[in-house]
Amino acid sequence: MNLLNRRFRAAFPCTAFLLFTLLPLAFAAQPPVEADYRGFFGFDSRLVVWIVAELHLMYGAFVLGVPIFAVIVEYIGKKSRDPKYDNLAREFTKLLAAAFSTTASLGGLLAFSLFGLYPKFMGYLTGVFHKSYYVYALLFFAEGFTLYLYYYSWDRLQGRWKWLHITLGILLNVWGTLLMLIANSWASFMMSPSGIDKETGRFLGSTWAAVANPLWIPLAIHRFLGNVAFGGLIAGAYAAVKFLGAKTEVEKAHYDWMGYVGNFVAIAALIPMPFAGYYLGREVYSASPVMGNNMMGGAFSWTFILQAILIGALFIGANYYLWIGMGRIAGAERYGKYIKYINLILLVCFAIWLTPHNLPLSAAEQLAIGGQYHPILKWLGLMSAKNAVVNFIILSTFFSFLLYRRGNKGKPLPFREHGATAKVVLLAVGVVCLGFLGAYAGHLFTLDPASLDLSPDKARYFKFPGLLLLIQIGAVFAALALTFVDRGIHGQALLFAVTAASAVFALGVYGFVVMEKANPFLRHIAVSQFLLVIACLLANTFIDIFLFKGAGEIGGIRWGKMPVRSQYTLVLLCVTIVMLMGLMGYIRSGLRENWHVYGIMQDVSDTSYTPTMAYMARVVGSIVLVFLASIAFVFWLAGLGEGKAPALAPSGEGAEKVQRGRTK
Amino acid sequence: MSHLQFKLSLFWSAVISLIVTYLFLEYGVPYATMLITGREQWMPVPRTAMAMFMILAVVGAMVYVSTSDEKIEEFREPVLAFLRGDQDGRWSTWAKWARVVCLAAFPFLLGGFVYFQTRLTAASPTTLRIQHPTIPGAYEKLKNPLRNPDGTVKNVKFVEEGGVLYQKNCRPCHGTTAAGDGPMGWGFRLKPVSFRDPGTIATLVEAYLFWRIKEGAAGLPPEASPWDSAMPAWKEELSDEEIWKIILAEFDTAGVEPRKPEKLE
Repeated sequence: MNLLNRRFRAAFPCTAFLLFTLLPLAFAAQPPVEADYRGFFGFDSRLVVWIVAELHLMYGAFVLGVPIFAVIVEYIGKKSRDPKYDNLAREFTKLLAAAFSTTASLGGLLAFSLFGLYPKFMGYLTGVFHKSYYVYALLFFAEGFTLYLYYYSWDRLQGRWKWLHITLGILLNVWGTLLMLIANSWASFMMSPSGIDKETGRFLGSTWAAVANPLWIPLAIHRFLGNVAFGGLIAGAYAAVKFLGAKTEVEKAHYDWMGYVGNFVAIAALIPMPFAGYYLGREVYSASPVMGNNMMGGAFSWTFILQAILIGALFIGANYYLWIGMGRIAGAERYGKYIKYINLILLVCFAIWLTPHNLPLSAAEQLAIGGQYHPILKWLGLMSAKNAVVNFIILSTFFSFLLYRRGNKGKPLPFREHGATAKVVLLAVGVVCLGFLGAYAGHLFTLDPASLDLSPDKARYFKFPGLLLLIQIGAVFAALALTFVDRGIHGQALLFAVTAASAVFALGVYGFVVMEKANPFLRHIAVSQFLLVIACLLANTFIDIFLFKGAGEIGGIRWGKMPVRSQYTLVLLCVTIVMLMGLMGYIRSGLRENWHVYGIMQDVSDTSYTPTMAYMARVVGSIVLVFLASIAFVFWLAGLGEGKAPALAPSGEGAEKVQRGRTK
Repeated sequence: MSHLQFKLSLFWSAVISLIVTYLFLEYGVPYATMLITGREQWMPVPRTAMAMFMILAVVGAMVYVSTSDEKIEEFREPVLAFLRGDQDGRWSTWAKWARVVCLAAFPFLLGGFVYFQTRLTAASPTTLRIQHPTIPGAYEKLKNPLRNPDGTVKNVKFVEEGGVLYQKNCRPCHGTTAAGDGPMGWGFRLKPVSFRDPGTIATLVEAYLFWRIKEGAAGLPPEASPWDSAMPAWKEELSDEEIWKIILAEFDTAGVEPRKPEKLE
């Protein structure tokens, strides 16, 4: 048997070598033929590119997302002088190092597939972007070298050299972000081309003009946040699997904490995601109203219902994990009574979030309703309703997190005991809120209706959101003032109430009025809602930090004492975000329909049609399975070299002590 | 004297919550819709929406019940007590019989549910309709020639002429005020939509309307099916200019404005 294995091991590389060298030679022996498209050994070329591109994107999202929070965790470890943070950051980076080579290999395969299967289109794209390719390659070297330097120098760069190590981590993120920006510019150019003659498609000579296309930055912001959430949940699922297989309490405590950090990172990135998505969506509408209509009201509208289901699962799952986690915090039972209300709010919001404008109806229902649209439910399908509920979901999730955070905290200290720094920081937060809320209110009060192609009388619709922004400034300072007089919890409650009333209810309803009377102004309503919510989150976070700084503890956090369903929730969250990534990748690319470069270069291949939902679901589902299986394999490989007992978080009293810093 | 305290178990709270949700959706919403819209009949919640809301309600209940081991235990308690039966001889005779009847009825209820869900019926299928099929490339970049670059109408007479054409050709189905309530419209199973609803033509660029008027239902692309539309193709009856005028009048009559390509930020 061993002999057979040895023979097989010897034969496999030889066969692979022969295959990879002789096959291209055999193809190269044929006379070159100018082709617009080529097949892939009888397979559908588009399918090949779709699968490889999506897998590359998923791995890319992971290797770009993880370093962002790995370096933050490392920095917290340096500041708190707690080695457990450092260990956690290192474990995150270990996963990164393992996945990096797979990402690069898939990137190479994608490039070969594209150049091989779509030669004409790639020739055109290369003609426009070839200068950026070289920068990309250089950055890739920088990314690779920095990553391995960051990972392998972990032990050497400790103590007084720690800052250098953290700098390497930051550099790793800089290179990664630049790489993402360059690759994004190619994809966004295909959707909203610039820097070319719009009639002939001729490149006008400036690579920057092509890179800085209209959808470049909106897509980059959306991807950046998506990558962080994706990385957090993949790391969370890794920790969950490790937790489920853990043999000791120490291991359980460590992986429980790691899973919690992964979920926390994902929540932090998910909170601004809906706004980033809205911004990208609006810019797609702006770049091409037809593409926008295809996206939300046309061929791709039902895929957005799938997206809503997946996002719903993410938010409910993330909240559910926090609620279960409160069970391991002595004292958190005081806040258990709120869970049912948050749960109810989330469910009602998701019911609205999921309801399409255009409900699937039977003929009998159409008759009973008297048309295609239900007279009441149709309103839930419009953007104003969606924006209102998504803001409520964000506020509720944040509220869940605050409850979790203060689970084991006792009575807050009198505010004066925090010294002048606390007042200065909180006032600075107030000034920041005043700055962005005030600036946007000023913008709304002075906005020229003509700039939105609206008649002058429509300016009256701009005042109300402006007024709400001013009220929010008052609410922020009232909350701060209450904090200064030891009524911080009341201040937080006031700010939550004002924000929910204005961002969710008032602007939620007002959005319908604007939609009817001054539609182009609608995006300003969404921005106002976002700013109101962000101000609430920002002010309440800082109030909470000082409110419970130094507060007595009712009990410790029993890390590792989590029911297994919480870990399955982390796995479910991971599967959900991978599905979401696959689905959204399809939507973004599919929106171009039968265009390689939208409106400029048509896709005339056999497979230029938009696939059916069923076909898309099968392909995306398969990609999800392949990705999850392959990344599990990669993580297994990464763990092969590990010792039996890695340095992990202490259990019992030690773990509780460690945790006191972690919930801060 | 201590006042009487009654605490409903988590199991029954969940069951009652689900029943209340169902009754609200099945009867409350249809009745409220009738009152709000002033119609004469109840407006049912479509089955697909009903299924979606009820699944969410069940998920929500299960999520809440499983947030702690104590809650799971509390939820399971009445179920287990029922399944285990009279362990300590304290049940009355009727309770014992009720348990037996329930246990015996359960498979029949389940079987009945499966039967009624899967039996062949003559009901029309539920269609996953696409609201706005993809506009063909030939129409995509068209602009209304009767508007100035800033979106204003070049001459108000175009709107007036379009209004006459609209009332003559479109009103029978789309209604005098473009509310989708023309006298002929009632004859269709799928009534024309109200253009006054900001979720309809106000979300579309004018080129889209031009395509729909010119090509009608017959010109819809295959991927747009199932598409129930009785819209005639007007390309033989109306000139392009007349169609553009009608579009101006439609927006004017409905009191909404066409979607404008917004400025990129």
